[in-house]
Amino acid sequence: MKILSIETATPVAAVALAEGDDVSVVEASNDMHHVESLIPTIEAMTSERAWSMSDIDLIVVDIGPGLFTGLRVGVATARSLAAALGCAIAPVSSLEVLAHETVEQADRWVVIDARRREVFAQHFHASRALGEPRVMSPEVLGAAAEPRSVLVGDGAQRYRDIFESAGLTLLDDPLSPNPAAAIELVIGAKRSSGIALEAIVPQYLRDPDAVANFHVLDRFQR
Amino acid sequence: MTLTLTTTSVEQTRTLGTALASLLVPGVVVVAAGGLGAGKTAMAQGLASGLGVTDRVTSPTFTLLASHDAHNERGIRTMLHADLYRAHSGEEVDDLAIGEMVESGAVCFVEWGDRAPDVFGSERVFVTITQGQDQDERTISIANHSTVITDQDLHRVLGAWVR
Repeated sequence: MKILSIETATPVAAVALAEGDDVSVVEASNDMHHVESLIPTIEAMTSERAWSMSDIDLIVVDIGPGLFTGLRVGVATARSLAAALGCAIAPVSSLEVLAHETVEQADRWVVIDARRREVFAQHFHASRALGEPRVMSPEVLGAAAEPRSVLVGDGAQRYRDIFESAGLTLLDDPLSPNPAAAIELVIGAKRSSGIALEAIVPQYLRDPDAVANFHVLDRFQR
Repeated sequence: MTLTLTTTSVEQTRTLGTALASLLVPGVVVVAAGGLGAGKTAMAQGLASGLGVTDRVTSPTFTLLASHDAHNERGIRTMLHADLYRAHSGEEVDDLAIGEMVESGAVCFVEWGDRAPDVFGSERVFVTITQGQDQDERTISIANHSTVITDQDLHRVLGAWVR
């Protein structure tokens, strides 16, 4: 089975191809130029393997949480390709991919930078999620995490000072989800790939208070 | 800190925008409030000129968000210009990802930004334009809610406009 995996949840966009144990990963861009770099990277990688695009059986795509601007590119690309090629598509969570890469660390918080001085975070023990993914300030996470937990991800690194002064330990890498790990996760979990394309949407975790504070224009303002 | 200023013409409001531009650093969102015809777009145009934007700047009323290349010595490479007049929900505004994009060397001027003031992150300057006594007079309050612009600089650059 030929698999394409697309990763755009953080400023580092990456692509993986896999066929059995033969896996390759290429970093497409590390400066948010995902739109320009993603398709050329996929084309270069498939032609290097002498794959035709129509050979692809499954597309794995990270749907976040992560940067809105990146995820839109990744999810739109994955959906367009899946629709055009008629192949299966399987979504993965950015936080679950990072958790999968660090499964040897029993107790950990996976933390992705959400910008705006917030992070997306989820608590894991071994391969089990201990809670839902949430968006929060680094200070709130620093207070919530217990000292036995390690923190991993680009959000952990960005607010290293806050977490370290809260007595927490950080892993230096991985910073960003690896699209090859996303493939492992999908294959290992034997996830159903019979998912409707329309159901594959970026997972935007929002600050509920911020979006609730929306003012409808009254007649006078209009 | 909040400064309350007065302008007496559209040109002055535009010039005030240019002065405000000289205070901005990447990551700041200017949240502008004021009714139709208050002068928000004029201020955006002045701001654009102060940031070295060469595009023609008009309100992105239907597209909600426009992006202009900026050329200045303060590291601001992009001026984003949003208009929330036609926005339908806080989610829709959040989807514009303004708070996220300004962190990549950009600033943003948001017309009708008071409709969803809390989705732009923490580095914000609130500008409120209201009608003054005369038809062309405007009272403009500028409230600094950022950590990257000092109140001292705000006063130094805009103090002359206080009446």
